[in-house]
Amino acid sequence: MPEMTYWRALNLALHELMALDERVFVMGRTLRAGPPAEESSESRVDCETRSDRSVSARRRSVRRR
Amino acid sequence: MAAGVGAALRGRRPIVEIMYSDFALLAFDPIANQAAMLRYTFGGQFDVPLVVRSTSGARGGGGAQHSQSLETLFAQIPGLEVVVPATPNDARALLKASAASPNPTIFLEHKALYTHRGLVDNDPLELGRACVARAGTDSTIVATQLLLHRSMDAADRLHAEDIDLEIIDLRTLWPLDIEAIYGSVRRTRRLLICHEAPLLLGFGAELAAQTQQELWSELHAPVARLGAARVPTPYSPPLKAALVPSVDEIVLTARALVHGR
Repeated sequence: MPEMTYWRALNLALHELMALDERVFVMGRTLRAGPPAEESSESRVDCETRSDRSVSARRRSVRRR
Repeated sequence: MAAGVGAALRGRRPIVEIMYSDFALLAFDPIANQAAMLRYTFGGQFDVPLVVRSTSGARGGGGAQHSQSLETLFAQIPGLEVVVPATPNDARALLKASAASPNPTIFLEHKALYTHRGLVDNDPLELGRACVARAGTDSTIVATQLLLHRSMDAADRLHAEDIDLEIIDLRTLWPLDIEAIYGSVRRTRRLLICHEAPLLLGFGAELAAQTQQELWSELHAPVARLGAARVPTPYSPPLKAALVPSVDEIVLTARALVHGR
């Protein structure tokens, strides 16, 4: 039974939800892109969500064309 | 927010983040008039599996517009579920339960708890199940989020005076596990309710009313309540500290409740 912060537990739950159910997606900007690492609320940073990443990829694809 | 409601109606399970629950008031129409009502107004044709994840409570110098505790406001909207996790384990398990729910769920994270550490297991939790955070015999305290932790500290201090407090973490305001409160109060015969939302018309008033109506003849003392004053949260740290019930206040109130003063 691991010990972790409230913040990390929330990020873990989001990653688990998105990994298990493709209907789940996040609208917002605080989901970490990679697996959750130990962190405090002070280290809360913006990052791309899955939806953001797909939009960015489409934009890059359009620019290349 | 409206896009999230639409996605939920189309079978997706969006988790919409609003950084501060104070800002959720900008999105109150899609939350309170649309998401909360659509299953009812369309005769049960749709589920609305939407989670609105947001922060709540006073921390640091957030000031009046970043520190409100609006859980009572959300809990008064029929159709919404309101989740208020206090520990890392509950945060993880209840977020998953919220995402699995067919109903729109307001998931409020307390800012002051983000760095709080605790053990996390893999056991699922259901919405609407309070838990006994500490067993005791002399009085019941019902608390949520930051006030749960302050109540635990108060219980540690009063244990040295041979006052044994039972503490219930409500976990969700709706569904409301009122039977957990009744069960505890039937044993302890006393109840103190602690929350960070304003005391006036706060959810503690509802819990007190229901408990006194149900258990009037079994109570040894009137139900006591602690909550914030109905004032904007001050920016000044000392003033803000005076607003939210402290461990000292919980100790004094619980001690008076048990000793009948």
